[in-house]
Amino acid sequence: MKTIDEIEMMGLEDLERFAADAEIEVPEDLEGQLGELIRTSGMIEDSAKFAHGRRVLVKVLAAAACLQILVLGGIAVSNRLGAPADTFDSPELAYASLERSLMKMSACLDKSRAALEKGNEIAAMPGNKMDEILNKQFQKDRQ
Amino acid sequence: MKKIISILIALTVAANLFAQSGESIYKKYSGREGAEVVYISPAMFRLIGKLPLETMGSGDEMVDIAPLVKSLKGFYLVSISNPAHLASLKADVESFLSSGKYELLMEARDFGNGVKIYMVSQGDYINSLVLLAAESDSTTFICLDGRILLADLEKMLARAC
Repeated sequence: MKTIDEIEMMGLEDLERFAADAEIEVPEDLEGQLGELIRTSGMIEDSAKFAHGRRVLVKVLAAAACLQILVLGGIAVSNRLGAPADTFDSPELAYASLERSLMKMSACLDKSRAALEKGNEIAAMPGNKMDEILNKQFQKDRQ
Repeated sequence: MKKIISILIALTVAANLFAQSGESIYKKYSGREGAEVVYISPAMFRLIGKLPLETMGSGDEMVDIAPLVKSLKGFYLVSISNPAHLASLKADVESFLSSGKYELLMEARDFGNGVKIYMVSQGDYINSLVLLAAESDSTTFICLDGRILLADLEKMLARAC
């Protein structure tokens, strides 16, 4: 048996000759084992790539979230600090303004109530157009 | 996976911080040309609640609106007559309404002019009331925040007629 130092000192021709002379047993399923090894190493590599990609994605998302929180948090804080000032100094004027707005809302609601009542009145009228149409259709269906 | 969920929660929280509100709309249009803006703070509402004129009405319709006014937390009015900002205000208000829990209370249309009233309710209480009036030459946004008993609001609106 040659030592590693001796093998390292050998030339290429000597090595080839030595390999040809040596009786080395080649396992029968060496090819299959090598194929399996290659496939496994490929899967490990793919898995490592996926894990790396996920880590990068998480890092990017985390950085984006931190940045957004900082920016929007800053805006929110500045908004809180800059709360609007009252438009009116006196409660009487403020109340007058509030009442005007409530009147506007009330007028709106009245308008819709009036429309609803008008609709109900029309629906309740005997012999109205809608009834006539429905009765005609009903008669047709019966025939 | 936990990290991704945490990040998504953080992003949602951050987005909520920047959500539109009555105040943000008021601030955006405050000081713009052709804009009339009014803000009444909770402190001012407390002062209004102390005014002697707040107990009014007669008979069955008598209503003491002082506690109601005191429960209001904010009043924002933005009225725009500048044609350049009409559509922008309408879009901002609609964005604000779609992002919240507002439901349409009523809508009235009259020759192209439309008035919509939205509210956020919780049982017998209204937490927010919004009016959006889009007319040909102006757009008005009114937002009333506070915990108002629905029956009290009806009385207050009836009294305002």
